[in-house]
Amino acid sequence: MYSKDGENYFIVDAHIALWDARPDNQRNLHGKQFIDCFYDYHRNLSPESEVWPYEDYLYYGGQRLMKDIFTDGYADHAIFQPAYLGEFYKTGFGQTTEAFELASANPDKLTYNHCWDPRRGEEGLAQLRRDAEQYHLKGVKLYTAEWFGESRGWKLDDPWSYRYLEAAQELGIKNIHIHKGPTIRPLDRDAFDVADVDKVATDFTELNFVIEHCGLPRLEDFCWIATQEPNVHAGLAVAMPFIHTRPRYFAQIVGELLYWIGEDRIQFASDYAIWTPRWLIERFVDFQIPEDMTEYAPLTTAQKKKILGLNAAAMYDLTVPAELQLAEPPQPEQQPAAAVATV
Amino acid sequence: MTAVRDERDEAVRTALATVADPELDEPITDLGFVRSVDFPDAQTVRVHLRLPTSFCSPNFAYLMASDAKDALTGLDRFEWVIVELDDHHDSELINRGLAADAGYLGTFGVEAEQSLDQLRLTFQRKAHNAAMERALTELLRREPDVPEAALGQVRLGELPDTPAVSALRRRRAAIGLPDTPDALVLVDETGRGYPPEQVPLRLRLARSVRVSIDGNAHFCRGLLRTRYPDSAADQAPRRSGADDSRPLSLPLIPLEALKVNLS
Repeated sequence: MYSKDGENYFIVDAHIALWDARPDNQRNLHGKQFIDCFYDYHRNLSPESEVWPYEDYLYYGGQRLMKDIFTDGYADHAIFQPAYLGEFYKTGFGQTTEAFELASANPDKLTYNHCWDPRRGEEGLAQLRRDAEQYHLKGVKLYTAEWFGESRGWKLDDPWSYRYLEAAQELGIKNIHIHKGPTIRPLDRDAFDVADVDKVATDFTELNFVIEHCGLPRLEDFCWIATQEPNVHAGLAVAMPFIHTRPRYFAQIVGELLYWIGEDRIQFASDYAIWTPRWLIERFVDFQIPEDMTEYAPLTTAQKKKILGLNAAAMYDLTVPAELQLAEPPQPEQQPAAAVATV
Repeated sequence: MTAVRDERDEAVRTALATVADPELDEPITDLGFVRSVDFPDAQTVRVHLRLPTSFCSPNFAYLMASDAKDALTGLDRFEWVIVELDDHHDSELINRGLAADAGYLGTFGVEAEQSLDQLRLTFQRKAHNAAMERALTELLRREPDVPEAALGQVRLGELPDTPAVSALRRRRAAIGLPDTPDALVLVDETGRGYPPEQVPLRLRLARSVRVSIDGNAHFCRGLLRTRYPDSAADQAPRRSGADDSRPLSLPLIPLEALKVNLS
């Protein structure tokens, strides 16, 4: 919980990781390139005081995670969203066993989401059924630019992907977090395109699709499909730290999201350990749309409470203490007027 | 970077300035993507390019590198043109393709289907949308009393000669839209205007495109400086009127006013 100016905020960090990118675990040069890319994100967009040494960044372990997220970071709950990256790291990038054990030891604080890759075919599907049982899955994180043998990406509307989504629906894994990345076949098309999300959101209405970093770098395509599909949500990972380096740009992202998809379908995430949550939460609570940006309405405290935790809590059926809930809790199924406008 | 630039060097940089990053809608020279230019001998020019991350999209990376090679070959003054992309996950593949003039299909093999033409066009259309929004927002800033729905009737000839309007004209030309004074400004990619009831929504859509492109530009420029600290000196301010620090004084469109059918 975070408190400021007499208001109390229930905090859910909807996208965290426990990774191991140390040289011993790197399978090849791409393993180094990948973590270096993350580290550049980290030091480019963090305030100077929050920048970690590179060595710490390679691996930080569960104890530090608990301190950064819960002791220092105000979170009431956090959700693991692992990336496997088996082609780059020997035991994978996200550490499944370590993260799951930490979540099992702290069930009130942590939810473990797992991942799947539809290119693993029948074998992967059988694995998904075992994983669902073992990890009590409520959600998964899918990274469409994952490399797999000769393939360097997949689409959500691939036939095998449909099989996995059907299984998820059957197994009650209802929250599908999607991270779009760059390499995908054929390279003729824009890999960040979110048109495939549009298709699966239409065909799997019982599932929630959370698009991480709100579709960035294709915010406009994301807003458009989210307007059409009531089960498409925005994750604020990557967009959040703009609050520090580019507050006016951050205002525009939030302004556009509130306009197109409304306040009930936006989730706060630090993308830990790319960034740490403490400063992001403090700044977001203090944040306001600049007065001269009259094209966007000012942010209300209720909107901030929803974004910082109540929306994700509703999606994951987390128990929110009554005094931290709003008189009118989030209603994600209710479409904003922009959506009505486009029907 | 060498401090002294001769005529040959200038010619090379001018040619490279015609190459744009399609996603960010800016010349690669302004972005700081040109790492070095040198001349190993009198008949050879060698250019190294760098990008903000190892994992920038390989299709865009290839597009910029091959456009750079084409632009330098087009100068017709070098026997050998060498363009190399540094520190990218596909550097080896792309550099081999460029050296062999293998083309897009030859470079990427089974990962390529036909061409990158459609990709290029998609981003030219996005760039046009953003430029259209900038020019019309500029008009609204100047004349706040113009009703928003009336923006659908504004014609090119009515716009003053500002950098945002010149940028719009160039982006119109890129996708084959007319440059005549009577041409409508707020149009789709085929040059067709919108009925008044659709105008506010279309402008909002164009704004989301502009916010997205500008945001990506900030992000990529910052990442490049983090990755290559010496690139800061090579980055020129963003030209296309894409400065997020300027206030917009556009009235909020009441959402209820947007109940229109777009099908």
